[in-house]
This record gives sequence, C-alpha cells and structure tokens, in this order.
Amino acid sequence: MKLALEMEHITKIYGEVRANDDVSIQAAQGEVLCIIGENGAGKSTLMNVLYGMTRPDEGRILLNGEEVSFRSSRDAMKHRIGMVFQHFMLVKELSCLENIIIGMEPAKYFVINKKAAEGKILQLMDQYGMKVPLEKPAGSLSVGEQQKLEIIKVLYRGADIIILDEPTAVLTPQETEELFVNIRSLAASGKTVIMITHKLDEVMRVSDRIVVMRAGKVVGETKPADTDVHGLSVAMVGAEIPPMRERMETRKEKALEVRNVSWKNEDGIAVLDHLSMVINKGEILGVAGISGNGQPEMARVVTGLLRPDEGEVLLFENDITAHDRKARIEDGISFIPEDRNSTGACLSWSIEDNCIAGYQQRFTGKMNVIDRGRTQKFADELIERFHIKTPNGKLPISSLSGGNCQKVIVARETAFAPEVVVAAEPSRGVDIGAISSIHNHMIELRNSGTAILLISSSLDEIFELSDRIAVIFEGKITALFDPKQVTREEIGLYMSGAKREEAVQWERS
Amino acid sequence: MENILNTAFRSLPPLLLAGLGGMITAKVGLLNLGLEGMMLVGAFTAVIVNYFTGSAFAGLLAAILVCSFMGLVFAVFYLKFKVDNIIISVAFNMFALAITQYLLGVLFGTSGAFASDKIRKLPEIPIPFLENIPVLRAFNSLSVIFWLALLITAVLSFVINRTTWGLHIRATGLNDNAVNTAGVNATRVRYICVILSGSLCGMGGAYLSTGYLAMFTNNMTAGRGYLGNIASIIGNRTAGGALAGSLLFSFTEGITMKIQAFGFPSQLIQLIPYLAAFAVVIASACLKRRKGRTA
Repeated sequence: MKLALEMEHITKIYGEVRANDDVSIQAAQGEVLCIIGENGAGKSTLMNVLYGMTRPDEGRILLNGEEVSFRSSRDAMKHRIGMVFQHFMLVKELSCLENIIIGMEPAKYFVINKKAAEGKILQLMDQYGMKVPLEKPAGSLSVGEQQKLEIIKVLYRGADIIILDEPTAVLTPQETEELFVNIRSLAASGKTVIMITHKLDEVMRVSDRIVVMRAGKVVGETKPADTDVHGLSVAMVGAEIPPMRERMETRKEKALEVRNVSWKNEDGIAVLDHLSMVINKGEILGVAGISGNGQPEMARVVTGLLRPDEGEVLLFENDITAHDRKARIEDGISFIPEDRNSTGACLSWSIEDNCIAGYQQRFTGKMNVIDRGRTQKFADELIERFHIKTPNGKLPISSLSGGNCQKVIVARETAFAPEVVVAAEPSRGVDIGAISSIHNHMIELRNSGTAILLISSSLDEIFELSDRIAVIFEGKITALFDPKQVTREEIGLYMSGAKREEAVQWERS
Repeated sequence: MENILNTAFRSLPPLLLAGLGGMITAKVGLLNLGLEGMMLVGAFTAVIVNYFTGSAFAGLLAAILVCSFMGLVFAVFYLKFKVDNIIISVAFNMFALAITQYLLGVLFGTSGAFASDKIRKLPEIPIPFLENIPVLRAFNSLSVIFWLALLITAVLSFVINRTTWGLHIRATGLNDNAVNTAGVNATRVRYICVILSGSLCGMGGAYLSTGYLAMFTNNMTAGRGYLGNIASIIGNRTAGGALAGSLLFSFTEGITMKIQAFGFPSQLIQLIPYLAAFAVVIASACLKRRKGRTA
C-alpha cells in the first residue's frame, strides 16, 4: 500500500501545554485510520495542523512522499485534504448546491454556472452513492443528511484525504450504519479516511488501523483484530476505570408527572405536543432522541423556565405548573443544563460563587448578606468530595477543564438533596474519568431516592444509567422501554420516527 | 398626482442609495448606522469640490472617494480593532455634523448654510416625448443620479444573486465560519461591503447637495441615512426590497410636500415620514406574527 500521508514529529505548544508532543502518524491510500483519545489528548490539534488551521512548532507533513507546508486551510484544500467538522460548517439558509460550491464556484466572468456545478455534483453523488436534495436549504436536512452534504462538499473540492471529526456524535444508530457504509466505499475507491472519535465499539467496526493518543502523545497503535474495547479504553485512559456503582432496589412512588404539555414557539410550531411522562422516586428515566425534537424545552418545562401553553406539571401529586424557577428550586427540582458554559455556569465568576449560584439564600446571614465563611467551607467540601482539580475555590471557573467545570455544576445541583434532578447531556464534552465519576454519583442519588430525568443524545449513556428509556420525537414521547429488553437499533427506529406508539403506558405493571 | 410622483422621485436617490448601502452591510451581518454621517460628509465634499473646480462630476467623484475612505476607516475600526458598531456609528455621525459645520465656517465664514451660483447642478436627463403623457410625465427631467441609482439597484441584485461574489456576501452574514473553512476570506468580504456602503452614501450625499438642491446646509441629510437603513430592513435585505422601502418613504415625502401647500403646521407634517417608518415596522411585526400562526 502506498503511503498517502505522513506526519512526522509534530509538536505544538499552547502556553505551557504540549498539545502535541512529538506525534508521528501515517496513513495509506484507501485506508481508514481511527485516532482515539480523551478530550484534550491532542487529536483535534493534530487534525488542525493537518488541515492548515494552526502551524506546528516542530515537525513536518509529507503527502505522497513530498514535504508540504500549509499556511491556511485553503492551502490544505489545494493539496486535496478535506475536513468534516463535528459542528457542521454549513450555511443553513443557503441551498445544498450553494453550500457545496462556495469558494470553488464554476464561473465565467464571476457569474456562477449552475448547470456545470450541478452536473459535477450529480456525478459525484452517483459515484459514491450519496444523495442530497440540491435545491433545498441545508438547514432543512436531517443531521445525517447534513453530514452527507459535508462529505459531498469535501469530495467536490477533490479531497483524497478526508478527515472526519467525531462524525457519529450526532447520528442515530441507523445513520451511523449508513455513514460506515459510505466510509468503506470512499476507502474502496482509494480515498484515505481519518476518523477522530472516542466511541470504541465503532472504532472496532470501521477502522483498518487505530492510533491511540493520550496527553499529547501517541501511546499506541493497533489493529481491530489485535485488541478489544476494553483494551482500547485502558490504553486511552491510561488506567482501569472504576466499575459502575450497584443499583439498589428502590420503592416505586410517583415523584414527577408531566401531563399533556404542549408549547408552540414564536413561529407557531408545536415544539412540545401533548407530552406526558412519569418519573418515580429512585428512578432514572432516560430520554433518547435526535436533537431538535423538543428536549431542551421539555427540560425547561420541568424546571420552571418555560411556561407551557397547555398541560400540567405535578410533583408528588401537587400541581406546580404555576411555580417559576425560584419556587421550583424550593420545591427541590434541580437542573444540570445541557450547555454548561452559557447556562450552567457563570464563566467569569469564581468556582466558589458558582458552587452556590441559585442556592445563595441558604448562605445568607443578617440583613441578607452572604456569609463568605460558610460559602468557602461549602465550596471546599464540594471540591474535595468530587475531586475537582483546582488549587483553590477562589479561581474563576473558566480556569477549569470542561470535565471539572461540569463536576462543579453536578456537585451544586445535587448538594441539597433534591427531589428531582433534570440532567441534560451531563457528560457532553467530558472525558472518560469525569464521566465515570458523574455517572456513579447519579446512581448514588438514584439509590437515595431522587427521581432523575436524564436527557442525552448519547445512547451509551442512556443505556448505562436508565431504569426506563423513553423516546422523544417531534415533542412527544413515542415509546417507553425496559433497557434490558430493547436493542439500540429498535430505539433508533423510534428516534427517527419510523416507528411510534400512539399511547405510551406509564403505569408500571 | 404627477407633482407627488415627481417630488417622490426627486427625493428617492439618497434614500435608495443609503438603503442599498445598509442592505449590503446587513448582508454581511453589520447594521451600519454610520450611513447618516457618511452621507453628510458626501454632501459637503461634493459642494466644496464643485465650488472650487466648477464641475459637478468632480464633486460627485470626490464625494464617492471621501466616503469610500470613511467606509474603510469604519471597517478598520469594526473589523480590525473590534469596536462596537453602534459606538463607531455614533462617533461617525457626530464627527460628520461637527466637521462640516466647522469647515463651513473656516472656508466660507458662514454658519448654517452655504449657497453660491458657482455650484453647478448634476445634469438632469430630459425625455421630451414624455412631456405630453400624463403620469409618466413625472419621469421627465430627473437627475442622472436617479437613473444611476436604479441601475445600481439592478446590478447589485444580479451580483448578489448570481455571481461568486454574491454567494460569498450572502454566506458571510449567515455563517462566516463556514465561509472561512471553504477557503474564502470572510473578513475581506466584509471590508469590501463596508467600503461599498461608503461609496453609495457618497453618491447619495452628492445628489442631496448638488442634484436635489444646489447648496449645503447643516445636517442636511436629516435622518435619511437612518431611513435608508430601515428601508433595507423592511425590504428584507434585498436590493429590490431596499428600492421598495425607499420608494415608500419618498412617496410619503412627496405627499408631505403636497399637504404642506395646504397650510398645515410644517413641524407636524415633517413628522410624517418618520411616522410612516413606525407604521411599517408595526405592520411587518404583525405580518410576521400572523405568518407564524398559520404555519
């Protein structure tokens, strides 16, 4: 096999962090190479170097044996390297065709020749068996289709090396299958595919070769045949992961009930459509769904941030629909929001202030003045109990890594024995160590009788934590499963709307 | 009727040119409130150069150049030094008011207004055969800038919708990350659009002082830059929409003139264009809501 790409001794230093430390990788023509590693392992930095977005401090890149140097992603593109970002680089309002050709429009005197563009794209779509509707705005496509559009865009630019950054993070199981078929067909036609991921079972299925990175270094290289998921996870984390906490049997008593809740957004679209659900004490209800089916709105209705147009929210059979967020904090409904940087934490505040935010009333003394002695003691307690890596609590929370920042939020929202915890994407963008600590803590809470609503786009997380799994589709719960009696593929069918139940049975038999 | 039409057409070019300037920067995600100040400087420059050279076209050209330069300065502050665009705009507009007033005093020793028979007006285009046709008569003897502004509207519309530049402009305001990763420099696209908005304002200003009138008075733009901005926004940020929006405002101006002749208090009547702006904003808000309900 001919080597398409060699990256030799790449070093990139940001401040005092060696994001890439003497990293060397190779990829052959027609090969699927997976690069795995935790957040901050240096995968993205390495790909940014390859795509010309940052320049390495040391090292060199060879394409087909020749040394190249990129000053911008435009240079990388010229050398037939293409990248599909985790967050798609699409202009939602423009048509798919316009999104594909932008920057490389076939034109005469600057007037775009749409026919020529269309011809070239149709030929590419035929060749690789990927189809997208060219005239529709990119934003109207499903996430899976948008990703296809991105891949076609990269192919249109003539890429021979295609980088995919966490491509399955947003896909349903069915879409993931389709993507893998497409990846194999790209490889079969001689393209080199480099996939960055941390989903190990997928790596085992799609890759020809696996490179493991940790703390900026390459720590291992292997083939799927020579390893297994467990071996990969140990190599990636550098240590054994503590086992999951055991589930205790809990008393089933209805804690939170949502009845027939509907809400229309300002465009008149029913984002929540007669949504109902029940969570019992000591139960984790996992809600699976493709993003954009009303998950954030559901969380906001339960936590009191959004007043529904219709329907009720009940806590222990009491109607709390009229309670605002402040009243619901007093009711014991806490919230781990999906976007920790904009909603979960105030980035310019100290860790200590973030530890009490929303619960500050518990720390006031005379004249409503916050008692700093108590807040400091409290923050230090949380830092110790959750192993939050920081010299002290007075530092701004923005000085923490994503995982530690999320631990602060989880610690705060679970500190005061809540009745209900709404956890939206609690492990998004968090490394494996922190995920395991957050998950174990949630199981502990569940065992102590808290009702937990877990909203997650990660089916791994849903399956690992949930006592029951519900599927949300177009603002409605369309299915309810026992995780032991359902497969991912089955859930995927409900997530995409291919199957749905009209009336979900919430009462336990 | 022809009177109203004619007045409307005569007051259209500055509104339309400012509207196009606002539209082109809105396309790349910038609400350029500095149009007002740029247009005022344009009006002043045109009069001065016109007076000293005796050429209306030299004045026009100078106004376009000076305002393009102002556009460049705006772009440097906005894109390079990341100053908030509202702050730059306010600074620009206040600076324009002050500098024109000051220079008027220094150069001519007058304050408030400057008129002279040495100021040549930009040529008007006679279309003799229209003279005898009712209604269409209003198109006779309109300034060359009127026709030029219409032509520019058509050209901009074509450029934005059909050319590579246009695609880059449309995409930049919507998602500049996508534009940059596609290998197009979004910042450069923005620079060009802000400078172009200056050029258009220069032309509008020159028309105001050497086409519509043949004099300069303090603050003679009188909010036309802001109205232009509104015209572009209610016109949904398209060239044709900016034309429709500015036509609406120029018609209210035409009607206002007509009513004034009947002896209503002029202060009250001069409110009409601004009330029209209000009405349009309210109407478009209602329309948006209704559209939302039926969807």
